[in-house]
Amino acid sequence: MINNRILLMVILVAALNCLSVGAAYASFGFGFGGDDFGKSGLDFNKGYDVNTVTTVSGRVASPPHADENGHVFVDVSVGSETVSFSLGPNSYWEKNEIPLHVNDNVTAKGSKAQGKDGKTYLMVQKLTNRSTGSSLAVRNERGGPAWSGRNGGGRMSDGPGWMMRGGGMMGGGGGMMRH
Amino acid sequence: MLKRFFLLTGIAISLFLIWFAISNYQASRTIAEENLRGLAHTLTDAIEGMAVRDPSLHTLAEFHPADIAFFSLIDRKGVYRFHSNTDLIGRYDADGRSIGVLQGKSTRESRITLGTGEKAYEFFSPVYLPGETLALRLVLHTYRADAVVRRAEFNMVAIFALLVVGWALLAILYRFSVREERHKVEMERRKRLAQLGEMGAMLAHEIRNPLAGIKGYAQVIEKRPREDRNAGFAGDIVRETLRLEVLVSDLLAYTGNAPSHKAEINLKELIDWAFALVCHEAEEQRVRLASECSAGIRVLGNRDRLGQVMLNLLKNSLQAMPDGGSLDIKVGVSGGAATIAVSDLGHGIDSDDMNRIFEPFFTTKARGTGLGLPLCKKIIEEHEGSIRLESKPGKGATVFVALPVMKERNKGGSHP
Repeated sequence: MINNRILLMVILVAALNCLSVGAAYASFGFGFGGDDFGKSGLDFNKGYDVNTVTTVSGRVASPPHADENGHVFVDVSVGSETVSFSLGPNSYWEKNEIPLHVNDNVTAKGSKAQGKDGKTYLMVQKLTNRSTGSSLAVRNERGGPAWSGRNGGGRMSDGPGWMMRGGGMMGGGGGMMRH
Repeated sequence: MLKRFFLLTGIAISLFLIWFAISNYQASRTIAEENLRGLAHTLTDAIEGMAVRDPSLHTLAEFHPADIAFFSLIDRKGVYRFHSNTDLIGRYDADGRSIGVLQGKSTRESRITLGTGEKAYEFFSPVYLPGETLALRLVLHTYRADAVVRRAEFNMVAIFALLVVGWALLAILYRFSVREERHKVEMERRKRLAQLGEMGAMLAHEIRNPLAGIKGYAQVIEKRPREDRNAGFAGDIVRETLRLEVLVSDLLAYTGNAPSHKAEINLKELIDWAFALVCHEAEEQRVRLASECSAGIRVLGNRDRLGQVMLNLLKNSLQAMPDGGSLDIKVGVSGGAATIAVSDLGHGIDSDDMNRIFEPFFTTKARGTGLGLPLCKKIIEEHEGSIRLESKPGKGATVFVALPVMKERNKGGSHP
């Protein structure tokens, strides 16, 4: 009887796991493979694509909060859309954060992407709080993250997959700037 | 037959559902691709129209449909004439695919992963402007178009999970039904045995007294026969009545209720006692007796009943080795139980007989009662223990008995 109960529990757990895996669209062997990234499927740590670089202005909708893989995000209302600004790992943000309050007007330049959760993200290269005048460079011009300790070049999608382009050193790139 | 039919039907339905889920998923991918392709063509036409109306391409900078990740127009030299990231306008496109599109004058499409990690749809198409042709590289977000794929994925996983759960529940139900069936058979067997035991007990009771009289008179005749030849006949009568007495005693022991008195029993002492009773017989048959048992192993039980078990097992083993051999008893403690293994090097038991060896009145011996091992099983089960037998024909047999071992705190104490 105990063995049956254990068996039943194992089966239920396996089935629920299958369902949760399916719901998360993780790997099931049919081409919709999982990855090392979070629910968005985006690489907030090293990801950047100069092709999708744009400047976004809007109003802070929620204060910065740590979310996917320990990265800090701030939701910004841009017209009718909400864009999540990726501001780097929590440890980096704690050391270098600039004041961001709800309803502050902000402008950010960065690489825009749509996650597989349907949300729009901006991997911020430079963030300016127009309400307070403070700004922060999170990545260098080519998207090299300031927290990596290296001035890696930005990445461009040049075909299936992506490849590094012009990964040279940028003078002072990746450093944090306060104004 | 019916079971097989249901099983095959279940398998067929499962296979159909799996096929349906997979084909549905594959179809959804095609639908998503077609949606993206249609969207790409529509956007291409729009971009081409804007570019024709404004050859400076400045108006394209205001074109921001939600589905576009980025787009660019590249000339034959590989220079970005326009890019949605205006910083890149005028730079060279290191990728030569746009040239290939311009030369081939055909469209290309593929799924790509952007530098951000986003999975996107890329579409190349020639754009015909007055006086020149440019290559359009259009990269689209796929989230909306892939909604149908996500739905199909979820449906597929849900179907798979339901199939797994369904089959698992079916397996459990089947297991329960088999167990129920076995239980029913066992209950019927027990009922039959109980009836048999009742009848046996009645017969044994009725036979025992006349048997004692017959034996007594036969013994008198054996000692003082009127004719010499009658002594032999009387001796035969005595032997047969003695055998019948053993049968009656076994029958009564098998059908009777267990005595309630239980005491602490040292297994080593019990084995030594049993060895002492059979050592003469063992010597005659040239059977070597050996035991491995530490002095401290104790069980709670009825001394006489467990002694009877031990004697029965030893006698069975001895009877299996008429030409000599070795009889070993090993006692150990495992998982809260004292385990007693009685091994012989006799002729063993046929695999056909193994299932019936504990059934009453089943015997392979010419003059056996068929009650020895059933009686052992009954007594051991009365003591909340278990008994099983392993044997290979010609290679001897081992009877394993497990009895709950007494805990240390009970040692030397009184027992209920």
